[in-house]
Order: sequence, then structure tokens, then C-alpha cells
Amino acid sequence: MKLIWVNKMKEEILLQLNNVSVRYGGVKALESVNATIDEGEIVALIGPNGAGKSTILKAVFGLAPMYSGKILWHGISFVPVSYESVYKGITFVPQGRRVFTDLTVEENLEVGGFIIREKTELQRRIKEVMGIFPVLNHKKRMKSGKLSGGEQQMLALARGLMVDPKILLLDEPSLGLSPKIIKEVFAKIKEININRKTSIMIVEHNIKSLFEIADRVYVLDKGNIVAEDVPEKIIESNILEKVFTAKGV
Amino acid sequence: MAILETKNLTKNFDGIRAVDNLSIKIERGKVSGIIGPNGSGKTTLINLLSGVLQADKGVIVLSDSIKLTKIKPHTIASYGITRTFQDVRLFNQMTILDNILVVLTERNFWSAILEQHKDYHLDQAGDILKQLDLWDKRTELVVNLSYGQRKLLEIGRALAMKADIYLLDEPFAGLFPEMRKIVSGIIHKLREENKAIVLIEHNMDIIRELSDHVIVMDEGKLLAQGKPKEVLDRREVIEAYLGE
Repeated sequence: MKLIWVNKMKEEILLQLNNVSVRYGGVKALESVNATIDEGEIVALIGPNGAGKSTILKAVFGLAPMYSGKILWHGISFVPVSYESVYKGITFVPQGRRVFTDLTVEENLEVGGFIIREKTELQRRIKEVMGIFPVLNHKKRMKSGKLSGGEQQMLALARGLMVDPKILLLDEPSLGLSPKIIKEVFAKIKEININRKTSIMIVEHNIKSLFEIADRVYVLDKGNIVAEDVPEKIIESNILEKVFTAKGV
Repeated sequence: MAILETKNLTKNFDGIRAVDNLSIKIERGKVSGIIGPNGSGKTTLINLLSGVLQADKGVIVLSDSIKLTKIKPHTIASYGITRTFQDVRLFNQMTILDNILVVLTERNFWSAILEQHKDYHLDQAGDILKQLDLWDKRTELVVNLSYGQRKLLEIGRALAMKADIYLLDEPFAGLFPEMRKIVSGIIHKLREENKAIVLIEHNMDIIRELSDHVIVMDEGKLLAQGKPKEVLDRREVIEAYLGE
């Protein structure tokens, strides 16, 4: 499928993956993948289980062993290391929430803002992030393990926003959430993207919710990008049928 | 006759009533779908039924006669109960095959020392992994698997328990259509084998397709129960859960 740059020509490419390959031992998880994310853009990664979607996010955040290729930040090649990526403005919200269950909501946010040295600035950021998720403000002293699944997901998102990232990497934000909460979480993601101009790269199996907010979609299969387009064109094509009816494992 | 029953089951966490006087019945040969908003107590219920948590009040009754008052997680297998977890818990540094063999082989200390892997263990593991379409990957380390493959393997490990009661906590979450079909097929098969299946699930299409009986929880309480069509059309269920 043709590479498209609809309304994006003038905007800067924030992050670029050039021929990135990832291998876990002998397993080829990604094969020469080329992808970009622009400023203020929501890019969706979809494909069957095992296609390499989460691996792309992990590669960008320095959590996957890169076998070959380059990752560029504002056109300059860098070797991603997770905590250094946060300094660049890249944060990762992993699959399955992964909040620190023995820490309070507020302490989880403090961990998310670990690069902020000034205490007053840290408190200002916590207040700002709590403003986006008022439900967390009411429970800021509660151990996060006591929060419901939806609230934990909100907290994971909030923690990712603590450093006011330029790119937010989201891995399956709807996992384990009820239909009502999924709507709320996706509305928040769109709100963050619009109000803060945060670029978002998102892996999500709930295609309906995903396509409502995505600007551009990469379809992956067996470690390769097999299509790239706007959501409407992806739906019109038969690519989803092809990749999802072929063996996913 | 119910194979598993809860009577006034209650669990509190620091003043929050996670499960509140819940009385439900689980029957053999049926899929009991449990739905409800996040925080409604579904997973806490599974944790109580599997001994991960102890109830503050109420009882769990097995086969109309055995009261499970203080069960521990490591003893539930002896009562014919097995479970999966929402967040997959496997032995990451072992192979797929070994994760299944761990379940199939002896648990008794002396028997385990003396036991050698026999062909029938491998055959049984093979049958399970082939059902899951993971046989070709049997020598791979679990840490290298995708989320979906890990989810399938955890279901495989539950199958290896050969239990009577399967407590499945969101087995379809994060799975794409092809893998959903595999899991759906396994649940159909378990039902045909007269097993009792408790299925926590947020996808209403799956609940409609698989459940014989739906239990709706909200704030720890039983909000509604009955056949899927009757329950899912009720206004209070739609408002509390679907947000429509």
C-alpha cells in the first residue's frame, strides 16, 4: 500500500524506524521495519498476536534487543535506553497497567516524574495530571493495588504523562476494561492528543475504538509492515481480513 | 445440582466491600459468564473461589456437601478447581513444553523425585499444545512469546490440570480473532465434557455466544442473573456496564 503523508508534509517527523529488525534468541520478531510518527499524530499498530506490534513499542523504548537498523529522533540516530528515552520525551505505558500496587496513587505519579528534580515542579505536574484524571485526585492517598482496573489504567496513563512527553507509547490500553471504561479511556487519549499535542503510538486489539481516534495505521503480520494508510482506507481494503484470517501464531 | 455455590460471600479491603453478600450457583456442563464494571468484584470472586483470598463472611460449598472455608491456592487442585489469571503468570525462563509438563508430572515430593518423564506425559502435553497451535513452538522460552501466545499457554496449563471446575479470568482479553476461535473451541469442548466453566469476560459478543448463564456484578453485589439475552437487555445492566 502506498505510503501516505496526508496533511503531514509540513510537520516534522519526530521519530523514525529505519529497517529495524528485532530478534529474541532465534525468533525473528521484527524484520526490516520502516515506520514514522509525526508531531501531534496518533499512529495505530494492528495485526494478529505475535505480529510484532508490542515489539515496535519496546524497540523504541529500548526494551527489545535490536538486531539491526536505526531509530532516529528528530532525524538523529540514537540507541534507545528506556530511562534515557524519558529524558528525550518518550514514555511507555506497558500492557497490563503495571502500576506499583504497594505505592499510593500519588507515589506512582512521583515515580513517573523521576526526572523532575524540583519538588515544586513535581507537585505542579502531579496537580496538572490529576486535573486530567479527576478520579485519581479523589484517591491520591490510596494504594494503587486497591483501585479498579479502569482506575489503574488511568493511573498508568497519568504516570506516562508526568514528564509531559512528546510521544506516548501505549500498549493495549483497553485490555481488561469494561465497555463503558474503554470509551472513557479512549476519550482521554484523544483529549491528551488534542490538548497537549502529544504524539501517540498505540497498539490495540479493539479496532473499532482505535480507528475512531487514529490518524494513520500500520498493519503488521509476522514481523513485517504489510500496509499503511488512514483508517478509512484500511477498512475499505481487504488487508485486515487477510492478516486476521491467516494463522496468527 | 450446583457443583460450586457461594452463600453470602463477603470480602472487604480497607473498608471497601469488594464482594458483598454474594450467593450464586455454578453448574456442571455450563458456562457461567460473569460480567460487570471494573471494580465490581469479579476477579475478587475468582480469588476467593481459588483460595488466593480468604472470605470475611459466607461460605463456598463444593458439590453440595464440602465447605471450603479456608482453602489455600496450592490445595485447590485437589478439589478439582483450576484457574487462569488476568495478568498471565507463567514460568518465563522455561520452555512452552516444560510449562505444561510441570503441571502434568507428580506433585507429591517423593514421587516427584523418583519420577522420570514418561512418554504419556509428552503425549498429553502434545495433545494440549496441538489444540492451542503451540506444538511447533514447544522448545521456545516463554519469555520470547507474544502476549496472545502466553495467554493461550496459560489456558493450556489449566487444561493440563484436568479439573472439574475452570475459573477463567478474561481468557480472551488481548486476543485477535484466530486465537479467540481456539479459546472458544476449548470452552465448547470443556462444556461437552460436562465441566463447569466460570468465564469473566468484557466482550459481550463472546458472552452471548458462549454463556449458558450470565451473572452480573456491580459494587460487589449480584445485580442480575439469568440467560444472556434476558440479562443483557436489562436497563440497569446496560447503564452500569455498557454506558449506553
